[in-house]
Amino acid sequence: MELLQTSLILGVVVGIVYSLSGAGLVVIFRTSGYISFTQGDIAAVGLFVGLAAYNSGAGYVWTALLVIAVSTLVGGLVGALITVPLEKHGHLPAALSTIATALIISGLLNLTVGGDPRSFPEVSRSEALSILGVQMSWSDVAGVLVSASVFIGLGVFFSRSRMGVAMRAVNDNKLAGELLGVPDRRLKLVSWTVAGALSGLLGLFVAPILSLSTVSVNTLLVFGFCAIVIGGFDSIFGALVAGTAIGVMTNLTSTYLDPNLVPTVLWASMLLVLLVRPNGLFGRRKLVRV
Amino acid sequence: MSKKLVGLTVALTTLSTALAGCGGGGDSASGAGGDEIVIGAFSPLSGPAVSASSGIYATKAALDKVNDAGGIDGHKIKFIIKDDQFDPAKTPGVTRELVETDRVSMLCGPQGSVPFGAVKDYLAARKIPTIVNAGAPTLAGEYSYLVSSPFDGVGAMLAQFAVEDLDIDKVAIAYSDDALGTSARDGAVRILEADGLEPLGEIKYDITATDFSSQAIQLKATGADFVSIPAAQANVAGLVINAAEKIGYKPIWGLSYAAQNKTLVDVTKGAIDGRAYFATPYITEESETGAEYAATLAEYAPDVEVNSGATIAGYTIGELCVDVLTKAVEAADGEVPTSAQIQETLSSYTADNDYIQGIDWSDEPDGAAAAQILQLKDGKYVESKPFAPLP
Repeated sequence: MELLQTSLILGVVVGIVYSLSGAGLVVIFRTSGYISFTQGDIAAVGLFVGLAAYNSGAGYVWTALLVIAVSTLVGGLVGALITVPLEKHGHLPAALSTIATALIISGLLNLTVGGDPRSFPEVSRSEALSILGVQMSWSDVAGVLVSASVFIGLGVFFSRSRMGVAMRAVNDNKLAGELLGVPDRRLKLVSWTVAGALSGLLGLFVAPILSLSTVSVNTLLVFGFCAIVIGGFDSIFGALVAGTAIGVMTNLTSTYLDPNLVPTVLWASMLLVLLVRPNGLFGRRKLVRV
Repeated sequence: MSKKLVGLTVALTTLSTALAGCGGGGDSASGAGGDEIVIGAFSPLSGPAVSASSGIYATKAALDKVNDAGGIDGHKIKFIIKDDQFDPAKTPGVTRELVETDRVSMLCGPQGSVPFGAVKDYLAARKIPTIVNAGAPTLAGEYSYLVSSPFDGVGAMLAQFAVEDLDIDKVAIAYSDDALGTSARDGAVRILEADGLEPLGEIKYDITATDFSSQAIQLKATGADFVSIPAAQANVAGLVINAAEKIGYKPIWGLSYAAQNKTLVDVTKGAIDGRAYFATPYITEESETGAEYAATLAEYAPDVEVNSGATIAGYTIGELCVDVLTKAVEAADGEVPTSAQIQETLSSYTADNDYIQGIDWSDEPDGAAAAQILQLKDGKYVESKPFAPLP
């Protein structure tokens, strides 16, 4: 029973991190209509800059703020200089450019900082509370609280704010949006900037667990990708639910079946959802006028 | 004019093809590199696995030292390193370059079980002998010789150390479902059963996983005081250890030279200092021979991590290559030895020296049959149990 409880609780904790990695992908998808494969590398740039500052004596709070600031800046620059301009040629060139950008950033990082994994600071490893006998560190608690705030904030932003609603409109119907005076390009740049900030935030929770290397955040984005496919490409709530479910499901699979089965179960679940509900469990079905 | 140009081009192409054909031919051409002995290796010199390159730079340091002292019987060693980025899709290409273009007479310390597995048969077909810097037992063959101890023996030695030296009978095993992981597990089980014990748990992990909390939970549930995880590389071992320590499970950890480096200490933030033991067939910087090793590295490869298991393995392989080549030059009456002569030397070679013990390739091309146990203490790897034959 203790094994089950611990698996469930730690599955939820890691699942929330998966959800956060999906959230950044959703933000870009909602305005641009494609997935960005650059987010992990954007986070890596911020994290390496942050680590350099930390090693030079900056405290954790300043390090965290710097990571988010750099990731925000890099995300905005990638959007402004590469992907958004390429959208005039269609979604495919823009989506492919995110892969190219990711490989370029990764190559430059390998060249400058090397491939060695290294430790990254965290909020605190000391125990904050115990849930059903499972010890939770302050880092775990911070991760859950910050993620919850981010999801609530994004949910309110996309459903209540003028800019959030306009972002959805840009992707739903570009022409109608332009006729109504919605600033298409500006909103897309905002989405890239916000997604950059979310990547940095994600990195702050991933790097202490996986250690910081040029690929550590990218390895987690696979789960984020599955989370948004299962939850719905344009649904922040879907990313939260699906990411958490994936965390629990993979943990139970690893504990009770076989750790080598985790990828199979993950991708099979994704395929099943695509076959039954192609827009994901919480995604909006695209309406077509006939 | 145009016809002349075409004719000249055809003639040059024909000539270069004919020359290339001569070069790529049989044994007699291999190694015939003038006064130099031409040998080579592949290694990740760039890309995500670049940190593993410390081994090949250490091998090169051992060879450079000999060259600076005049070479082997007057023959300098030309060591050509090709970058395969640890990518088995790239390894065959760079290996063909080494064999067919550079015409190496042997490979000295090419790195990685998976990359070498991609070219093992090709090298055997071309009769190019290789001293491999990798641990998978399946890599041993007629032309491929292993140096690192077999993981069956490493797992057995750690289990024996836990039971007999640390007086611990609650032992659990964490293993990956591959040749290295299962042979290490089998070795540990064999020893425990011989002592009338059985492991409290055999917990499987996936080396590509990102989350090891499930393994940590299962290990904690066993209540073991000693967890053996010898086949894990430093990054994976670090993630498993971190996941366990995070839920308050702090056993003694049994590891191997595969995880013996700065990355493990860095990733675990020093939490396992004093609680981690490493089985290794290699020396340490702190040992008597280690002083010479460290001095050579300081001179020829000052940027590599001296205390890393991969670096020490690479240097040891460099020393072995020099010893083998010295014997092969003697067998060739002072001339540059061919691949066939080097292979003949290797197939009857034994080593029991300051750097490595228990190598007997006249019997099987397996790795060292002796190892020692090191303890991570104050950030250094210190001897906890001296060299002994693997159980």
